[in-house]
Amino acid sequence: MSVLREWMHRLLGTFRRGRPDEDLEEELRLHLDLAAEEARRRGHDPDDAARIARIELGGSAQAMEELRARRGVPWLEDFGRDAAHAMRALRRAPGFAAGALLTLALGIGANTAIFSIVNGVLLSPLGYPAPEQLMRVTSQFPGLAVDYLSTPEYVEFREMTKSFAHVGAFAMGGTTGNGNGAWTGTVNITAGDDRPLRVRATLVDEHLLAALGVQPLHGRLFGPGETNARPPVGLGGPPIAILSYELWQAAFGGRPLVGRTVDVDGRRHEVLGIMPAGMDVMDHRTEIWLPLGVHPGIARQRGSHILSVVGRLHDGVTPEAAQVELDLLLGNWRDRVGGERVHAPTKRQSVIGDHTASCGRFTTWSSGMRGAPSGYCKLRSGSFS
Amino acid sequence: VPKPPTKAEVLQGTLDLMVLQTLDTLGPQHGYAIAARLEQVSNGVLKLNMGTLYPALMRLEQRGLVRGKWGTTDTNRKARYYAPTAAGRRQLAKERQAWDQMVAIIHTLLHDKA
Repeated sequence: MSVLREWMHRLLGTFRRGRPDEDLEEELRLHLDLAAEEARRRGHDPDDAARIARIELGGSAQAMEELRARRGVPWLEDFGRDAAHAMRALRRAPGFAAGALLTLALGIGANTAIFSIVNGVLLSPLGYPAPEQLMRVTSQFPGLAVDYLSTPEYVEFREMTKSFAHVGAFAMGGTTGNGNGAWTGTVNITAGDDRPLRVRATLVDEHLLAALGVQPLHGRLFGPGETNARPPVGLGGPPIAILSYELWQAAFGGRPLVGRTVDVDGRRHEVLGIMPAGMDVMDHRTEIWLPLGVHPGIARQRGSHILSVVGRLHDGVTPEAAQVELDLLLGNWRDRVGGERVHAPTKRQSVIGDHTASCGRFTTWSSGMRGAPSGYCKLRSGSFS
Repeated sequence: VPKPPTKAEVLQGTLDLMVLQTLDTLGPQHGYAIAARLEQVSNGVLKLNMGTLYPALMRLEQRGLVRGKWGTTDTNRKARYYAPTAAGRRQLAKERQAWDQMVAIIHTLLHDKA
C-alpha cells in the first residue's frame, strides 16, 4: 500500500502539486547553515566553515537534483514539457499545424476506411448458416491455376462422397453453354419500368442452394431437376430465375414479382423467388440467380472444367476426414466410374505430373471472405491416357 | 591527532529504519538533527549526504510513514520537522524485528564454529 501511496504522490508531484523548489531549497539551506555553525563551533573561521559544510554534505545542487527526480515522475514531466512546447510551436505556425492536423485526419480516416473493408470482407463471418462446414472442392491441372471441375467429375463426386451432406455447383459466366450469362457473367434484363439493365448473374443448381443453406425471402428456390431441364427447341437454360433482394428493390420497387415474368437476355423467365438481402456467392455481388443448366454436349466432357463446386460437410465431419475420404475415392475413381477409357481424376503419377489429391482449409485470408466457403478440397486431375 | 573515522556506506535498506528509529526516539526532528544524531551514535562513522538524507525523507513522506511540517528551531529559524505517523511506527516495529532476526542469523553464521 505504501508504495502505491508513494507513486500517487509522485504523480501529483508531476503536476506541480508537490513541494515547490523554494520549499526544498530552504530546507537544504538550513541544513548547510547548521552544519557551518557546527564547524565554526569546532574552531573554523566562518568562510572555511561554510565551505567545509558544503564539501562534507555533498552540495545542495546535487541534493536538489535528487529531490526533484523523486518528487515527480521525471519522464512524465519531460513529456509534459515537450507537449507544452509543441503546442506553443504549433500556435506560432498555424499553417504547419493545419497541415499536420490534416495529415493525421486523413491517416486516421484512411485507416478506419481500410479497417471497415477488411472487417467486412475478411473478418466478418460468412453469411450462411454453419459456415465452417462449407468447403470448396477444386480440381487442379498440374502447373495450371484452375479451380473448376468438369460436370462428370462433379456429379461423380456428389454421388460418391459420404462426408458431404450437399455438394453443389455454380458458374459465373456463360460457360455452361445454355445461353445464360454470355461469358461476362452478366445478363440484360428489362426492369419494371421497361428500362434495360445489365446485371450480374450466377448460374446455380439446386444442390448449391441446399449446400449454402439459403432460404428464400419470397417464393421458392430451384427445385430438384429444374436447373437442368432443357427447353424443347434451341439454346438456353430453363426460363426460370431468382432475384436478389437488392435488384428486386432497385429495378422493380419491391412490388410482388413471384410468379410473374422478367425478360432475361430477350427471353421471358418466370420469377420463382426473391433472395434475402445480402445473399451472394463468392463475392460476385449476384443480382440474378439463373439455372446452371449445363448443355448436354458439355456435360459429357471430362475435359470441360467449368464448374465451381462447394460442399457442406455432414455434422461432425472434419475437413481432415473429408480429405481422407477424397484420397480413398481418388484411389479407385476410375474403377467406380467404369473402364480404362474413362478420364478420371487419379492419384497415380502420369506423364503430366502430380495428380495426388489434397484437401485443406483455406488460410485465414480466404476463410473469412464473405460468400466464400471456409475450406476447400483439392481434386487434382489431369488428362489421362 | 586522532585519525578521523572513515565514512561508512549506509547499508542498503537500513536508512529508512535508522530515520524512523531516530524520530521515534527523539520525537519530531529536522533533517540536520537526524543526521547529527546518526553521526553521534556512530561515533562519526555515519555522515549522511544531503543528497541521501532528504530524498529518503521525501520517500518516507510520500509513503505516508513520516509527516513533515514547517516549524521554528530554538534559535528561531524556519525548519521542516518530521514525525513518524502511525503507519510509520508500525513499519518501524516490523523492520526492527526483521533486522534483529537478520543480525542473529548473520552472527550465528559468522561466529558459530559448531
